[in-house]
Amino acid sequence: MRRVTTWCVLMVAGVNALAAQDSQFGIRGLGAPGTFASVRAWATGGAFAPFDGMSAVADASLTEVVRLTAAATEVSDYRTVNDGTNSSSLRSSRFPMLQVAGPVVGHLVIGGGFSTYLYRSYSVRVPGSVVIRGVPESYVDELGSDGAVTDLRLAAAWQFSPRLSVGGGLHILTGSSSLTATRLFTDSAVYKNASQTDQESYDGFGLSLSVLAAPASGVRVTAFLQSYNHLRAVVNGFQNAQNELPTTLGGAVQWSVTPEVKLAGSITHANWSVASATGTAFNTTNWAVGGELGRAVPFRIGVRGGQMPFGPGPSAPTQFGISAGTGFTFSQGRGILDFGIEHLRRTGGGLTENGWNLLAGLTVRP
Amino acid sequence: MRIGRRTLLALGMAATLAACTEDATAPGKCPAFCPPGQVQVVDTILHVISRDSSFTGYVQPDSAQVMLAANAFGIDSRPIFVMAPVGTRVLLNPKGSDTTTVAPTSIDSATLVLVIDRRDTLASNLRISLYRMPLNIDRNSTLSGLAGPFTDSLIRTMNVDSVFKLPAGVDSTAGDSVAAVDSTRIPVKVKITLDSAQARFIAADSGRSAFGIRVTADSLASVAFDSHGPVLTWWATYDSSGTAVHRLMAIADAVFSSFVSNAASPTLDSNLVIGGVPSARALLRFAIPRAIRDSAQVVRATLYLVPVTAPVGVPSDSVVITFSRVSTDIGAKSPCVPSALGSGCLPLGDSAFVVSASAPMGQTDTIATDITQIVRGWAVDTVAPQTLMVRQLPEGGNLVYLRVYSSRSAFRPALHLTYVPRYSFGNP
Repeated sequence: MRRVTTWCVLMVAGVNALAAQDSQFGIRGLGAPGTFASVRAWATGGAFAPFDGMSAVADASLTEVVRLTAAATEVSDYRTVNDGTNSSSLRSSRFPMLQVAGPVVGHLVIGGGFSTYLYRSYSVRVPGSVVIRGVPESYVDELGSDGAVTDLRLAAAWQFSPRLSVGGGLHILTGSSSLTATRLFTDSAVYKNASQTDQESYDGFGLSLSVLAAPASGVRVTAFLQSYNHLRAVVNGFQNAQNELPTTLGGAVQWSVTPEVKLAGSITHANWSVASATGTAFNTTNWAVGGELGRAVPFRIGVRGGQMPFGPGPSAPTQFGISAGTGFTFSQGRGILDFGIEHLRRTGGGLTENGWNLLAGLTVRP
Repeated sequence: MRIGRRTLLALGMAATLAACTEDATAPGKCPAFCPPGQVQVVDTILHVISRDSSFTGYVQPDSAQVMLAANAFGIDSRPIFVMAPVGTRVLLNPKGSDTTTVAPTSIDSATLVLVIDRRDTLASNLRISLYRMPLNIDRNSTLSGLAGPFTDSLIRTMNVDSVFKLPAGVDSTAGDSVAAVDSTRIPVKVKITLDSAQARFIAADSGRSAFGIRVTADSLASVAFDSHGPVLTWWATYDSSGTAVHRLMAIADAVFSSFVSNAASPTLDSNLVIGGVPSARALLRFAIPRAIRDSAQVVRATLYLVPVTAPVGVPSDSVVITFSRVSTDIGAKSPCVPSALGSGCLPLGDSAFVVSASAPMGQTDTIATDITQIVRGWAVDTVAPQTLMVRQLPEGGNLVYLRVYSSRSAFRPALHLTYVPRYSFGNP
């Protein structure tokens, strides 16, 4: 019980530790969607996430957790952003997910934790000039946001039989961003700088349902649904915006070719276009294919692709990633360290992002 | 295999720690990849000064930091001062055990040192004429009342320019000297040597003596003497066991210093008056709209004052005025924000509390003063009075005063504000 309490404290503390930048494609919209995948699943391109109890994609997969387990994820990304004129290198670190789960009674498994729903960290520098008092004055605007929308999940799964599990969850969207807008005049001796900082907080609510079946030996399929009502943004106590959020439908299949060779594929669709009435949000379809070879020190590999929900052009930006990773156990299997690396490319609206994600995950089974 | 795991763990942890850095700033490609809002700049001129008023009678000539001497543009101003009484007996052998004091056998001479704080370097043949004044001069003395002593009691005249041009600024014949106080060579220390007849030590008065000064020059004769500057050093002859020795007898400081002039005191009318003698001050009360003061960020604020008439005087006497924040607005007696280190107001240097501007002689150009930091300070401290005390610098140190239009006139004061309105962060 004490260990569970410790993990709960760490989980709550972790909500405030979110700090990230994920994509320039989230600046103009609500943000860049999170992956909801543990490091193990992320290294397979996310294809294993619907079957991973430590991922927050399909609640039914909680039945994979046979003892109290907690997992945390750390991601560092190094990106190069090229808009056709300028190229800049960015880097950031974040802790996008922490999950705790364990069987309670019978075949009931309860789990929960937080995961990043939308990344909202960015900072852009915009130079310009304005005529003041008849004289052109050069300036640089720095507009930034540091924060995220976090999905707090409480889920449960019931294994009706070895071939069928059902899960459901409640989701509370929370989190905040520190927003800054600064104008720096080049002639700072004459014109003083102006800087404004506000805190924007978010709230929303969602439900999730999923089913996990094993129709044949070594084959598992899952279907899942996540639906949120809306995202409300509040600045200084006043509602700044309210945007509808999508319903996500997905399915996945996993094939254990041998005990040491597993393959999986998944596909999701989200109607993100409801989030914006101005046509800057697009429905997205994303897919992933991956595999895991070996058991003691497995080798994982995967690819994923699809669309990003927000972009300036007539169509949704696209993304494609290749990932790999491994992991190993220690302390008689009570701890697992997973590492992964992903190369991700995102394009759209004349902008290209190329970057690497370094993944590190810690799973503890006390 | 065991070593492999440890190596992998070490590499993984090292990579994780090395990754804990952040650089999130990228050039913005707007509007496609920028937040929806834009930082705006508004530039406007506001007539937000009201209930402005002037008050006079503050710094009298005897309280001023300087004694004004002028003989130009119809202004005649003459410093007057009284030197303190001194003792005459001295220790002839102060380093020994002999504590016996000795009276002088004769008063030999005296040197009077004056410090000129301000002068016009274009003035040529600047001459100082030293007059003996009656000992009863005081703050009620007037130019006309002292016309007699200034006519028949001339002690001697010294040409400051001539001596200043001599090697080391020393006139070895007369014993006078002129030395620059700093590298600007504008402030100078003038030493005038007086013989016993000129110094005229009167024992009944313990050497108490009073002087008056007139200045003349080919042009631009206007000088400001440091009020605390006059120092009179007495020299005497003593009998030291039958031998006459020359010794310093005493050093006297000024116990009263002032000046008398024919300049008219500033009179109050519907406009604002700043400076003059006795000095006048003005209060400017601002009513900046709360929408700007509380919600916007002022990036530049310029206060405009329009002179009613051009000040007339020598160029070096340009009217310098200061704008000081007051700690509380109680009208004419409003105290300025005090200095934490001293008893007076904050000196120039911290532009969040006090700034200065200059009104050149002979010009009616609008006086523009940057008060950006003061206005930004009002935004931070919203309970602080939005009031500025306008004074001359140094107060009481200039016979020329400035008269500017008030809020009741067509050319009323204006505040030119450039500000950034509150940024709308827009939809997430």
